[in-house]
Amino acid sequence: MNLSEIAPAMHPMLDGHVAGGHPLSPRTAFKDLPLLTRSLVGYTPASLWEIETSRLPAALQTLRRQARIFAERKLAPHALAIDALPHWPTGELPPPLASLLGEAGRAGWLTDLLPRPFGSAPIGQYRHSLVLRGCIKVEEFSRACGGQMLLLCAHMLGIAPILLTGSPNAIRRFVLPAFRALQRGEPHLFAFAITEPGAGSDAEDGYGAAHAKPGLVASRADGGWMLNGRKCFISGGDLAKSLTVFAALEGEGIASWTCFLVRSDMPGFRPVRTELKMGMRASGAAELEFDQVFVPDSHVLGGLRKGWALNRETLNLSRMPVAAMAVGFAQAATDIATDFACRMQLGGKALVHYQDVQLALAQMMAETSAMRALVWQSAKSWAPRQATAAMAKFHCTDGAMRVIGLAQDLLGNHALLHENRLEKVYRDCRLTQIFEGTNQINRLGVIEDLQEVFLDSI
Amino acid sequence: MKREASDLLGEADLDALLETVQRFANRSLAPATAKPELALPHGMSRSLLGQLEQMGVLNSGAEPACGLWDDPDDPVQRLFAAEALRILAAHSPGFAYQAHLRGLANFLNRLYRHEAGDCVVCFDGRLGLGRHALVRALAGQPLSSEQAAQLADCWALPVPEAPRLLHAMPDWQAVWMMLWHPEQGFRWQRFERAAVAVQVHANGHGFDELESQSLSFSSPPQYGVEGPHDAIASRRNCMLVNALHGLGLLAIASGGAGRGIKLATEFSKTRRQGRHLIGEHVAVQQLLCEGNNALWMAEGCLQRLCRLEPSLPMLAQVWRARTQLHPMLCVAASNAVQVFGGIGYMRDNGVEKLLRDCNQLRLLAGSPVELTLCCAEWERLQ
Repeated sequence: MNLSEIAPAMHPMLDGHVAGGHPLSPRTAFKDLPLLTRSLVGYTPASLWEIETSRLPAALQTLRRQARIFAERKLAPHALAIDALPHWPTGELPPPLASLLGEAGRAGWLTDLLPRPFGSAPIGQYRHSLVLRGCIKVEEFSRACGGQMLLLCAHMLGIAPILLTGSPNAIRRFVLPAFRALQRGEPHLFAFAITEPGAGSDAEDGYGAAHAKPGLVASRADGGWMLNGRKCFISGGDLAKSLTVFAALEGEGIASWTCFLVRSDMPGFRPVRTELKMGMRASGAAELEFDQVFVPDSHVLGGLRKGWALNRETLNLSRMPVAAMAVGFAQAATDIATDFACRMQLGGKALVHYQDVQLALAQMMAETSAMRALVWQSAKSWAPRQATAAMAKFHCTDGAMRVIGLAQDLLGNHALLHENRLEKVYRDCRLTQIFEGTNQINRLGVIEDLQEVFLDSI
Repeated sequence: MKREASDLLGEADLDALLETVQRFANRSLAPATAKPELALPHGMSRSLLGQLEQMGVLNSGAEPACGLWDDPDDPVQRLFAAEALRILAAHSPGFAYQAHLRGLANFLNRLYRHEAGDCVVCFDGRLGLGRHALVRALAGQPLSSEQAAQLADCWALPVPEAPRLLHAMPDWQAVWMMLWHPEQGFRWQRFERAAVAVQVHANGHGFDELESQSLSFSSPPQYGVEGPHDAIASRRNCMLVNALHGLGLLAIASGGAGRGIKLATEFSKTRRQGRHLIGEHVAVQQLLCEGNNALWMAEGCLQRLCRLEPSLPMLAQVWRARTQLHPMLCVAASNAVQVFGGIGYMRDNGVEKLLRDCNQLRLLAGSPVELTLCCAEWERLQ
């Protein structure tokens, strides 16, 4: 909801401000300026969302509008109900989520990593980086529901290592058949499996990985590899039909990580359980067991001992969308607070008339816009480097929690009620400070990436 | 006659009493809350509150003794209540909150000579505190028409379209509310359950043990004013009970956040990242230290506040402390989650629940922004 649309309908002006038609209003004063000058100080009644959308290239404007429509029609209506469901059995999906997967697949939201005819992205969008397109979509989905966003988008993370091998053969064999199924509405999801029990951050950081003991090990077998061990906290791991799984070679450390394409029907593979999480509840975080899982040589992605590179490349691509998730949550909090401030009355007038409420809303809007600008600027590159991605990730996720805090303060005790949606936004967003590397690991990731700059200055 | 401070509870008795509370927490409350992903059943909560009653920690009798908030004029008793709530909150902030409400309800029952019963207190107005007009009213200062409208809107008898929120066990029998009357000012009023329309809100943010309820009256109930009307005494009682409530909220948040930091510290001594225990990493040390700083400040503040004479200045000091300390305690609880990483996000770990409970405590009886408005108004009145 946008103030410029709502407030004039309720009141000619907000308390503490002159009305738009007042002679001292800049809008009135600007009307008499020469045409050329007016073009420099222009005013538009459009909402901030429209203004920011209009600054995008045409293809991305279309993407943003389509993502918002899909999110508001398909994700938002079920968000609270799904969040409140009892924990469902591992590998199963409540009907609204099963239906969502089918609809998202048919609408092309699960196959837009590749251009038509291989995937569903319009060619025009391919002038812009994969990451930027992903960020635009993720922000709008997160704004509607964090859990459903993660259900849909963790799948992209699972595909990324295959694309990053640069192997047309791997893409043809593993990705395209899945894409065709998804476009028919059949849920062939992917998952990205790096985290191991007892070593959460080690998979995200070179220093930690150098000393970590691998939790999933690949032993040589006739014609392939035998995987044994466990992975944990794998988003969508219990639903995925294909998983990009990273395992150390027997007797070696994480430097030997190799990426294997594991099918969920391979004997010995079993999703053990899904976690009962604080938020993002529409998406399962699965613990996966690998008990003598035979993976043929043909399912090794990118070559032996190339897994660490694929993992770090993937994280460089995926951390920016986590920043975009946070922007979506911050926007959701700002929208909820704006709606509350316009709807709730105290002492005969809407809360938005009070100066402290106006100050808080302005702060929320400014912080959210600033974070979005950082994401859009950083995501323009086709090859985001680690420092850029990590900076965007920790800055935006910490910033979004501050914005949500401001919104909570504005709603007061009403922020505690599930039906007001803000408390879910808080719980969903809290995960973004943890996954894809904790924000502490991401800060160190910036320094790791830029260490030559510091070394040169010593 | 005013009792001398520590007539009932001396400084020397404090440690012994707190030890009793600690034993109860360790032996009874801890096993009942060992699985944080499962809300403490209401039957179990009732039974535990009954144990506190038997121990004298909750006193529903007609005479004050050594229970929670029994004698708010006694600084040692206030200190006992705050410390006892911290101990209980370390295992379950929601349960501690319920014990706190019960203690305050017992006090109000005695103050206004009501029968003891399963009572709670509803502290929030329709929209928190309804802004800083509350301060002027409690100080007995003239109100502008806008301020009078705010008070009437927020603190009048709640109606279905403008209810008040309560977080409590579902089966209370009577509720105390602070009501605003344009001529008489603020006063406490007790209502029996049958008179109140209760709407339950499922899946609240924190306090899984409790129920979030909207309270309203579909038609104005018949009730008599509690006690003889005395505007000054009524204002004092409102200030006093709100100040005690603020102390309780801070104490409970401190106990909850403290538990989170304790668990995170223990985890940091066992969990490795790379070659080192995570507690050896400065990033983790910073998170824990920031949490301990908040706890240290909260403890010091509670000690100081408990020794202030109950009055409007004390209430303003409690508000001032809450504006600063609640956000810091939320950061402490959040840091505990961060130290655990992904494990901390899972409900069976327990620290995420402590974080949600700390958030809840931050937003009850005035958010930090609203309390800042109140403090600013208090300063303007000086």
